[in-house]
Amino acid sequence: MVLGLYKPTNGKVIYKGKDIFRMRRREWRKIRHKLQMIYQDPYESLNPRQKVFDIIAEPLRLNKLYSSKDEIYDKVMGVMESVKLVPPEDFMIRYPHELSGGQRQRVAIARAIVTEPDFIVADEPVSMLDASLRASILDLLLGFRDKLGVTYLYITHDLATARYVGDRMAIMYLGQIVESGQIDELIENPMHPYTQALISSIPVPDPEYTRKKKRIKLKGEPPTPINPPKGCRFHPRCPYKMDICEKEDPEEINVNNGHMVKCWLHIKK
Amino acid sequence: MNSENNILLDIRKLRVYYVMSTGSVKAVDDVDLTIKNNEVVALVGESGCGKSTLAYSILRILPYPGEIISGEIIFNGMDLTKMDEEELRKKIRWRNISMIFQGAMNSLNPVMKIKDQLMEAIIYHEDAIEDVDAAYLKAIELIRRVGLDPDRVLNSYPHELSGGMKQRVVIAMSLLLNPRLVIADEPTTALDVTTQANIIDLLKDIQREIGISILLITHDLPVVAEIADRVYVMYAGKIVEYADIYSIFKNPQHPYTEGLINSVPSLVEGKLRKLTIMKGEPPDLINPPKGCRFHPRCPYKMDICEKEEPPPVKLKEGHVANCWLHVKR
Amino acid sequence: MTEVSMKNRKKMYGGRWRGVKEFLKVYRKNKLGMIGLILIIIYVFIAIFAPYITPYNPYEKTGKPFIPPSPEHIFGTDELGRDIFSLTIYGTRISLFVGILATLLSAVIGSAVGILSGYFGGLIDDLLMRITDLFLIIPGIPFLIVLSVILGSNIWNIITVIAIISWPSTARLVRSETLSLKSRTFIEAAKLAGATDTYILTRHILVNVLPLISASIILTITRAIILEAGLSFLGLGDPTKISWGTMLYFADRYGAMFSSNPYYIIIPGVALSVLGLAFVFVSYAVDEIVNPRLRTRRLR
Repeated sequence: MVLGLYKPTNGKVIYKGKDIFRMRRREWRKIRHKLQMIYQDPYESLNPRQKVFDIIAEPLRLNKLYSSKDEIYDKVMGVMESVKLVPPEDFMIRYPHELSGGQRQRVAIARAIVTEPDFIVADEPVSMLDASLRASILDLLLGFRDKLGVTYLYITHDLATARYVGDRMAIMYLGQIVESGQIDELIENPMHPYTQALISSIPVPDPEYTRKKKRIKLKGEPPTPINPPKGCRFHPRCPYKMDICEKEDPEEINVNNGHMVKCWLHIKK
Repeated sequence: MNSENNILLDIRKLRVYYVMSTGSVKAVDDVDLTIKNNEVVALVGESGCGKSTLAYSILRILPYPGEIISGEIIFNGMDLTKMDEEELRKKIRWRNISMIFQGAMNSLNPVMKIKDQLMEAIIYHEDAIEDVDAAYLKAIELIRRVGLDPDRVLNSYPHELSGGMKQRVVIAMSLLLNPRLVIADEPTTALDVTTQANIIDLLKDIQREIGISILLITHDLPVVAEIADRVYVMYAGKIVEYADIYSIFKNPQHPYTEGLINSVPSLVEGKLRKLTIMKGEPPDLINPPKGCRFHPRCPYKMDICEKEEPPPVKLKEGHVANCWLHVKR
Repeated sequence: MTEVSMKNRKKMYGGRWRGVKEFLKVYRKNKLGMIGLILIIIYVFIAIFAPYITPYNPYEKTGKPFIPPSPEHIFGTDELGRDIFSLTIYGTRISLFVGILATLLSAVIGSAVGILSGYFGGLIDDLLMRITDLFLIIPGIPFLIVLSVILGSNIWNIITVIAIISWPSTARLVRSETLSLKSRTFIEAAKLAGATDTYILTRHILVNVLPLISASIILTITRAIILEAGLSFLGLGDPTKISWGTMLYFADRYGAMFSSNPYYIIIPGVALSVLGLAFVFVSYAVDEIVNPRLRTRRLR
């Protein structure tokens, strides 16, 4: 949705001061390649009948970013090198099924980065990969942030990875953002009961620590977003539920310097 | 205590290959592994390292063309590799060793009520149970034990239950015939974070209460840290290191274990934790690298690593690593 | 730089047929498939070089009617004294021609309907699929008979009629494959990159359903050849062209089975059965190779 694939029921998506759903077609076409996406499953996100070179070159060709074939060729080679698909001459003629999961994800990253975007939505880009390959992919993504100044929206359920890559974080529950702020602040000082429970459920790769810490257990499981509960959407599972939670949806408030919480516990009456 | 008698499962020099026309996939190659009574052992490795194959060979349910080439699997004094199919079915599978398959919660029969599926497992092993009514009561008790409401769950169809509830049903099913060992293959993947934590807690509680052993097969190190007593690390069909849980995490001795543990981000340490970036990818098991199978990716590679396979080196009681770094010459 | 890049680009396009080569490598291991393929190649060869193989002009009377096999006429003659061997050889031409053309026509219609319907969904899907259903539930053979009576017996009508009853199954097949492709994220990625529907349909969807279409083509050819023979046997064929079906029709009418030359009925029958069998072998072999790849998306 953020990338203009689906139209919202309500609201705006603003990119550099302009609502992308109100833009003229021509205008949209000009900036579209500045917004890119990396998908979770590298087995699904690459066309099995396209060669690596064509996969990466496609956004360039479609957006007519370069006029000559040599320019496209050089650009693609350069990008393949930067995602460490080396030597690129070997990889460019391969099909996705000839690559490993990690290599496929590198192709997907190359495709996203080739148009020199300033914003990339990364949807669980490492969750399908083996542990020993994850770190290198994360490193690659962070590298592009430092080198090319890419902004990421990193979608994940893995808070540990989020803390490793992220600057700011927003916690979502049933279609609403319940808490957001600087990532370290959020994890060390969570204010919303859902965030607290979430953080306490994450196992930590340290047996001593993880066995000592206390867990907040939530009852039940998330309901469907078709008929969300009235009032605060989290109230049926909340350990601190009050009367008002069932009736009214809490406002989002700023508790501390950009740390936003949407919970009645923190609203002073 | 006599440790010999305390051993429930003892795998010795096991080799399991998938024999194909293009060459054999050496999925499990010369593996030793022991599980004591009342112990949670984690078998950790990346996808395709042979950990699931190892689990399947314990129950002898290897998919074609998998074959146990050599070695012994001693369970309670019996060698499972020599047992015939009938005996295995009657004495071992489910009655002594049960399994929570990967994705089992999605393989519950969608047109059967939970009750009937539980009973089916019981009736299938009819000879094990004198009284079917007693078995039904047992099913009810187990459903309660895994934290579900029997009145609601037993008469439901799988689609009426959430993922977490289905996984609990699957756990109950694995406990039906009082097994002594439960093999759990990735029991928490595909569940959301909070449910995952609940399932881990449940497994931990049940294991302590009933006193069973669990072989936990997973790639998820934080989960291992939470529940396991001892850890075996598998790489490319071989066990590269094993130790108690604290030694593995605090003092890993094989470069692969070290890399694996240091490549997982930690919620507590956040950006302060410098992740190790392992180069390369796991090898294919038809033509694994010569010598130590990890050598092409190893940051400490020496000449000998390319030529000879490292022997197991005992570092202290119960901590063994197969690595030339620890061989004194 | 440019020179190097040109060289590399050539290398890149050199790899274009690798998929086909891989396919052939696997295919070669399938014995039945190879037998089928060789048989089909023989048939095609016969069809092309018919005039050089036949000893006589099949349209001319070259002996007495119903001669049993003899050195001059190895399979004897028909009711007009034409050479059975020559007739059968020429029949190959029509059978293959009708079979292949009708199938191609049906594949084009079926694929177009299937892809459009699966990709666009909604109203277009509903509309196209109801039309497909309509053609699917019409009982094939009676419909064929009625239609060919109305349209008249010429070879183009027969091709059209066979295509009309064959396309719906292809459309169904292609539609379901398109649906599953559409939900894969590489389609979304292409849209994101700014691809138009036409671009996605041709560059992403079509290339991925192509293996399925070719598998279904082979199966349809068998059906088409047998349908043509069936129609002609019922006397609805093109009387001016020699096909195995028309041969069987006349053989039946003149009681060849009990005449002095039963080969009149046996030879075209065998020719037809063997060709049918050959295509079935090939389609099984192709199915074995193509389908697992379609179904198990990932092998880990």
